[in-house]
Amino acid sequence: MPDVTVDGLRFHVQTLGDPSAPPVVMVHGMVTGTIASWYFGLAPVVARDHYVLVYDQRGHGRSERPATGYGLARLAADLDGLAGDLGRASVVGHSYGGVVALRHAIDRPDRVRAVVLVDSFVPAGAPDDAGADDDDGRSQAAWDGGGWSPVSAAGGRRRRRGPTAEEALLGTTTLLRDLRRDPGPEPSGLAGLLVPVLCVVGEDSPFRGDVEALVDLLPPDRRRVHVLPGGHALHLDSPAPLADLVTGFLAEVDDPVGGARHG
Amino acid sequence: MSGDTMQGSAEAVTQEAILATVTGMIGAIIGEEYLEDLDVTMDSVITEDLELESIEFVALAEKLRDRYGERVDFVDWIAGMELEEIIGLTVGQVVDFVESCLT
Repeated sequence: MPDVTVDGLRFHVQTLGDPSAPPVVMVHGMVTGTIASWYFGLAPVVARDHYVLVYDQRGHGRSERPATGYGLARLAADLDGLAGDLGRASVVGHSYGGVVALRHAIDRPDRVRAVVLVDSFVPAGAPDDAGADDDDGRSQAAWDGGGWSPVSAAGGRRRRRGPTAEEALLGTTTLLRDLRRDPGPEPSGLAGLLVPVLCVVGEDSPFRGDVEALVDLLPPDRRRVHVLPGGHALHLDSPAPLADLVTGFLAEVDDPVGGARHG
Repeated sequence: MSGDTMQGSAEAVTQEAILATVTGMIGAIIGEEYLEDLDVTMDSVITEDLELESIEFVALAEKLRDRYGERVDFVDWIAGMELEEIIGLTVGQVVDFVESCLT
């Protein structure tokens, strides 16, 4: 089921696993992320025991790319719309995708079972870095998004088809501006979260200070913090340890009498 | 697009047939006009020679699932690979994988 429309906007969605298993939604990071950030990595591992829904965020991958509307509230509303039929889902987010997950958990506590943050932070107060949070780059450029193919291939398809999806996203939308202007979730909202939050931090992440600043805003009795070897793109740098952490955490938070959701 | 429909268990599973099917899927993903300029062979490296991006691999996975169903678990197969292996993946490896699932 590749296309789902939420509030008039078309989203590219993929699902993995048994629909009767506990639901998990995965949200990729901004700009260079797409469904592919998860699809051949963490998603199929988690899908062994869960029903996994992954989607391209607005403007990304094969989802529609509106010119405006990239603020956090809107991104969280997209998540809510796409996860709407799943019941109470755990939400895994990379980078700003994790911030979207937190905002969703604040807005809709009834719909969220747990949150996993993979090197997530709010890019506040850094005018030039803000929003391009996934653009540190270089370790993930190969996979996390469209950076795969050899751009330099002479006469290649990429050359002929004009700007890349990332260039179009940055050049023709308000995404960066929207992200820069967005202060992120309210600290009081974060402090009041009732769901467990697994925070996975990249040991060598260039954003480590910002990542830990976000962790500090979460209620101590709800958060759990792990540092893994790797940079910002932990799903690429430490895929197996990340998968172990996430599946272990999800197994713990899944309702032991689960399945009730489907009657 | 067309030609991707399920044909039941009696379909041919020769290497040639699977290669034609996979080539057709790639054409549908990248656009037939680009496919015309490419010589898709068993040795074609999918990322390099055919310039598929990661998001287009997702589309390929979807088409394989639509065509062959659960028998061919392309996603799980890819998920077990290192990044370098994925980037070096050839059409022939995909064809062989599909063939091994069907026979």
